[in-house]
Amino acid sequence: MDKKQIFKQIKKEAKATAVVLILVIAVWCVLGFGVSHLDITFFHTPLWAITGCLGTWIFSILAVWWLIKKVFRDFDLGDEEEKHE
Amino acid sequence: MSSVIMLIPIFLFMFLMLGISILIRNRRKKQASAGFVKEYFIGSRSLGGFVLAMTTVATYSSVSSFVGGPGQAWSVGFGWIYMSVVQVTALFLVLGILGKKVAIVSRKINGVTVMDIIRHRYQSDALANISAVITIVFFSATMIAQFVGGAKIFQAVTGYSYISGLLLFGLIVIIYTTVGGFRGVAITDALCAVAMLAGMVILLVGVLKAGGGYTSIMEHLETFKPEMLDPLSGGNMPYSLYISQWLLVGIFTVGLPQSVVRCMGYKDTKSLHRAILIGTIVIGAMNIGMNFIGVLSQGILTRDISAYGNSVDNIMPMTIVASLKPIFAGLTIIGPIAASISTVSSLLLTATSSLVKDIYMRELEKRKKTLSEKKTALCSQLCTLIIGLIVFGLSISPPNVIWKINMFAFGGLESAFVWIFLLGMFWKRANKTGAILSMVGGTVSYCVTMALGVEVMHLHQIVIGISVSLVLMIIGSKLGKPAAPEVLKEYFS
Repeated sequence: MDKKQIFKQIKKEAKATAVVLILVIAVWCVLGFGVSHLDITFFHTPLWAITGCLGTWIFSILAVWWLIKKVFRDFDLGDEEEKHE
Repeated sequence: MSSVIMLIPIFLFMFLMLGISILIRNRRKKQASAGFVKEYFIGSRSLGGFVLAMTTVATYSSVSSFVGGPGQAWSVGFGWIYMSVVQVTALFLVLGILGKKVAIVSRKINGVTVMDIIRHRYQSDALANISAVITIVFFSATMIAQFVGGAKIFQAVTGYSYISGLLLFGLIVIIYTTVGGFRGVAITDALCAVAMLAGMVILLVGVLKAGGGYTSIMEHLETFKPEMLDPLSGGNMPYSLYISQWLLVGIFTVGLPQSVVRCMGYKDTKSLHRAILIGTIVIGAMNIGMNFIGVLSQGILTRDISAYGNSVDNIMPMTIVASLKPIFAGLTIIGPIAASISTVSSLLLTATSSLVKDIYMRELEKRKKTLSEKKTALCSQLCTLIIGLIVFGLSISPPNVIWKINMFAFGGLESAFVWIFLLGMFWKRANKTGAILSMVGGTVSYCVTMALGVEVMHLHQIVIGISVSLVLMIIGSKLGKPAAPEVLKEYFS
């Protein structure tokens, strides 16, 4: 990757990270506040607490996994352009 | 006798930290290829994925994650865990958004501190100096809070005095930070994070056992504290609190300088990717785990808060004492002490770099003077020692509420730095005028509204600080002179 491509890639990764943040917020709302209206318990524990806490955490891990596997790329952090020159 | 047994694990852990730092210092002396400043302040950019993840988590997780937070969970219930889970975003945001850009730029400009980047991006010594002063002030407040929190839990659990706790881990953390530098801090931080997780697991088992099992504890909650099973906790957890926490300990942690500096210290992109994943797993486990323990403590400490000294900060120490045998209690309090020292060590080193590298050495540079390698080493280590001792001295007469001071500093740093980093790295128009207005305006508006208790829609004052900071950055950047093309090309093309 040349310098221009690297900066383009970094921008893409930053945007994808922001999208993941928005998704995590949405999932957190739905799995927590949303599920709390269902009034279901599991081992005396309200379902919203399980989904809102563990669910949000697991979703974040999966989303980060997707980020680093599908969006993020490996490249040299050194001054590549000057090396090419 | 039992309190002596408790001290054994703590002593061993602290001396392990010290030993590791000395070992790293000796290895550094033998290798010494990258130059003292780069090695001492940024570890010659050699962190691998695991250490990067753990040092970022350990620096971010303070003693309040182990004491004040779970104490609140005991009082409020599952809503507190639900609120704390927003912190799973903290690692992937800073490393995912700023990680690579900061790493590339810092290599290019040979920067070893975040102020180096700020100075270069905005071409302003004034801005870098203001940044350094803000960092030192807020970091000092945070370090005091960490020392106080750690010493208080030491006192409450072991029965030994506050001062003896402070002397034991306070002095050792100052010494090991002084000798170990960034690499030493990163590796000891990683061990601290492991110790925090281990302490958490031990305590969880102890609390479940002492409370008569999970079902028994939950039945107690259903019968006597049903509001603790509701996300709004009978009015104790309003929506405004959730929104505030999302902003304060979630989204805007992206701009905390103590996290951003870690973007300059890792080896390669593979390490960064690994760190983002490991960090997200660990920070979630830690936040959910500790606050869950806080809720479960209701099965052990069943009375009203007035029976426990009217402070939620007393809940976790009492839970440890009530649920664990002395040797396990000793192992468990390594967790909060590790949280305290890992935050202090990182902040202490960053504060030193601000003073030595960003202010003193820069001033010498302007006068066309340079320090020899030997003098730089002496000056940096002496400065770390002196700042550490000043903070230690101030911690002897402690302020009352741990987490409020911590939160005050958190918001102040975010108001000052978020847009400086984010827009500096991703918006070409961001310039010196905008940056100075943003940093000063954001910090002042945050501090003033905090002090006066001014709120907008019952939201935390971070909303005001961040908003003012953003508006001023945009206005200033539109009105001020654009940054020079040769500077911008390092960031955008």
